[in-house]
Amino acid sequence: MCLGTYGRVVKIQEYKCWIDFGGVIEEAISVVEDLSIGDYVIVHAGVVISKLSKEEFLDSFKYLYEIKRKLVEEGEQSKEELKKLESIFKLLID
Amino acid sequence: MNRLLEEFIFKRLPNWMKLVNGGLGIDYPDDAAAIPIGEKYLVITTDSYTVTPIFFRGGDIGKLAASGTINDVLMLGGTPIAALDSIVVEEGLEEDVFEKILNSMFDIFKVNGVSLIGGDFKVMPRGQLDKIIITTVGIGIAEQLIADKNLKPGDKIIVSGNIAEHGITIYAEQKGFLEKSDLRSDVRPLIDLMIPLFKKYKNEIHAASDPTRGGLAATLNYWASISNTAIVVEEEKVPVRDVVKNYCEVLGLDPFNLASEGVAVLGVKSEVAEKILEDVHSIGYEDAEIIGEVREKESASLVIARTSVGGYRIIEPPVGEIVPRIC
Amino acid sequence: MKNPEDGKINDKTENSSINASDLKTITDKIFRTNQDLASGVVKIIETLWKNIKSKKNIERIRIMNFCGTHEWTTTRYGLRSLLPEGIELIAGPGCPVCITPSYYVEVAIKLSLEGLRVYTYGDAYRLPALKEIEGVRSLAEAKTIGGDVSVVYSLLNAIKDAQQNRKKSVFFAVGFETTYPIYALAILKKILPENFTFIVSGRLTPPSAEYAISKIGKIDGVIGPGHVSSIIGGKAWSFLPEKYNIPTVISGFEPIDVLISVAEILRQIDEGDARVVIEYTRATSWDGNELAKKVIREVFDVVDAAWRGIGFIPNSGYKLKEENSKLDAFDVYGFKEPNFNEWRYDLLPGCKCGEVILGKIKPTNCPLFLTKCTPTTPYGPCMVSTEGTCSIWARFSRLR
Repeated sequence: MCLGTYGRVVKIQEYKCWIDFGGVIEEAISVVEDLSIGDYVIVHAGVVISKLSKEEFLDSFKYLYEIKRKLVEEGEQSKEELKKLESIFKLLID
Repeated sequence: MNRLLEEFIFKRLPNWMKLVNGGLGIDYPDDAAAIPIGEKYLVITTDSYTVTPIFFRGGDIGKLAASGTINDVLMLGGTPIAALDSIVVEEGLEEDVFEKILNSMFDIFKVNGVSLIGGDFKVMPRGQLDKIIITTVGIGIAEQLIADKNLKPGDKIIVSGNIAEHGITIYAEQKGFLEKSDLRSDVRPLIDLMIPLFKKYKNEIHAASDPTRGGLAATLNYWASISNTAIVVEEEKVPVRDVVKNYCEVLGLDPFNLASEGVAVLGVKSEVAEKILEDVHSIGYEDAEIIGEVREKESASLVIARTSVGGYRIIEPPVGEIVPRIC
Repeated sequence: MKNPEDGKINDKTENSSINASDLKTITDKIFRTNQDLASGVVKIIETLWKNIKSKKNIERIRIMNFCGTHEWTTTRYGLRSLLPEGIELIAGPGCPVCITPSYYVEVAIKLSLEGLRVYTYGDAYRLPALKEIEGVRSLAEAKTIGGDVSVVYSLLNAIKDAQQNRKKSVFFAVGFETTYPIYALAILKKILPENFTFIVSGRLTPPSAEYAISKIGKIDGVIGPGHVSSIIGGKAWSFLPEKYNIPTVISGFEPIDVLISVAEILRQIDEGDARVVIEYTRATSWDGNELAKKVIREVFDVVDAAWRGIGFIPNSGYKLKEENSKLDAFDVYGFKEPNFNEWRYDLLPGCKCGEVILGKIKPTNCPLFLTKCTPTTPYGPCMVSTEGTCSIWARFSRLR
């Protein structure tokens, strides 16, 4: 359920806002409070349902990294593997 | 649609009626038909064009009809030389609208050296059709046919440019979603691309099509079934502009299913694939890519895409009306 | 990750902010197209699975998703073909179209043929009813015999159109928690045109998840719906680990999101842990979207509701509150919703969509799958919606 597309708020007017989906701008209604221009949001069926959190964007990987670290500690996977993962993360962040 | 064709036409005709001896007809339906004449072939195609709206970003129904006619002749290996047109308009269509449409059709034929040697014109009462229908016949000469059934395992698949541009533009026009986007139809004749390629690679190009209705998904599935092969595509290699990708994502549409009107798909011998790609680039089709290859068929004929994370999915031919989804 | 014990987790991504400004491009680069990362996660999954197998002496686990879009991601990116043998990803009741009872469709068809304009999302356009109404079974078919049906992408589209043509109109409001705040907000803000009504067929996901689990027995892990949870919050799923001891990960919708979620579920199984973890932290919180929850509460009651092919599930549906009944198409046009006793099984004979929806069987276990029931000629609701499990399997996943 619930296809959501990422876009950026470019204009706000009363209850309506305009979202740039990367070259395509569409009108939407927001059910997120305190929306500002420049925010990244998730739009579902023309509705802003959530703001994307920049700070937590890479948090998804914290767990992954933790699992990996443990596997390496336990000798299940090699240190090189961990380094490989680290270098991927580095690439992502830079 | 395919079911209707199969049931009401293909099944009812005896084999000899489907082609002229030594040529190509609806025995293996292709972009066009061919009749052998001496050492060469006469290539003929016919198509009816309807589109809503009749004027869209990047073109109109006149440009669409002329380009489509030329491209269909080209995709069978023919050099287009002449066309005929049959136009039916709804009573009350403004004259300047009509003139504008004709002008853009004539312009395309003129620039590409195609004579307009005959036609028909009728007016129908208001409400009996939607503004205008243009039916064309395209005629060309081929030294060698490019019949899609000749696609072979090992061949590489080349796409000449960004896909789905026409389909998504028309869709956006119809839904009034076009505001502030740089979407535009890619409709154009492909003479400048195809003629030099034929000359240089007449034995190495095994299949050619323009992925119009049903998009790349329909074209590749048709190729696989008619040539009894399987096709594997690297999804990330298929050229799609970001704006088109994003727009499709908003509406839950698949670019693979959307029409192009100015793109050629080629099935070529793998040894020369890179060379052909270079030539395509140097002719000016800079977005062209080798997107995949043809393999031996294992079970049912299939088109498979290797996805961005390395998994595999099946590309099915699209079914029914294209509607946006929210789930 | 938002969970009570994540204090100990400390790694490179902790304090790093993202340099590039475009989160959309970054999402693509990180979560969708990074093949190295994908194979890295798959390696982790393989190791964990090897451990679990030898430790617990099991050969098979079942992880259920409750969101059609997760099923879509899984098949669209071929994730099943990446996972080791024995890890089964199964689809739960995650398609709001498939579970919309037939009588809503029948009412929508009737109204469209009576001259009202019916607005529908593309998803429900071809959804077949059990009973034929004047010879047709779906809104798409109704349109071919003169029914007034308009496919829209959003409520906003429909409002605009209705303002222009001033016809009596009905919005076929299928959907889960994610789709419902907008209806509530539009009603509260009074932005609806005159004579605009709703067919309210909204459903709630946690009750159906619980129902599915009670019907099919032990599930080893749950991939929780990210966007639904953006609204209702991760905490709405805590009954899964607490009551049923099921590891639960609220997941994003990119292929790598889903792979990470599988890895986390395996970690929990391996360590004998069971809790709700939010993988989709970039969009989902523990508490959810308070405004959205509030407006829904103000406009809708939660009632026992029917699910197609399944039956009544307690507290699983939305209904407009008494004071908004003039917006309810059923009230305005004199239709009555069947109650528990009146409800009749609403699938065609032989159709196994009910069992597919509950994850009891796979589409390939249904004798009609790709024989009598195909994407071109759908027989059951799961073959119609783009998000229906059968439709997804038919289109994408014959590879495995």
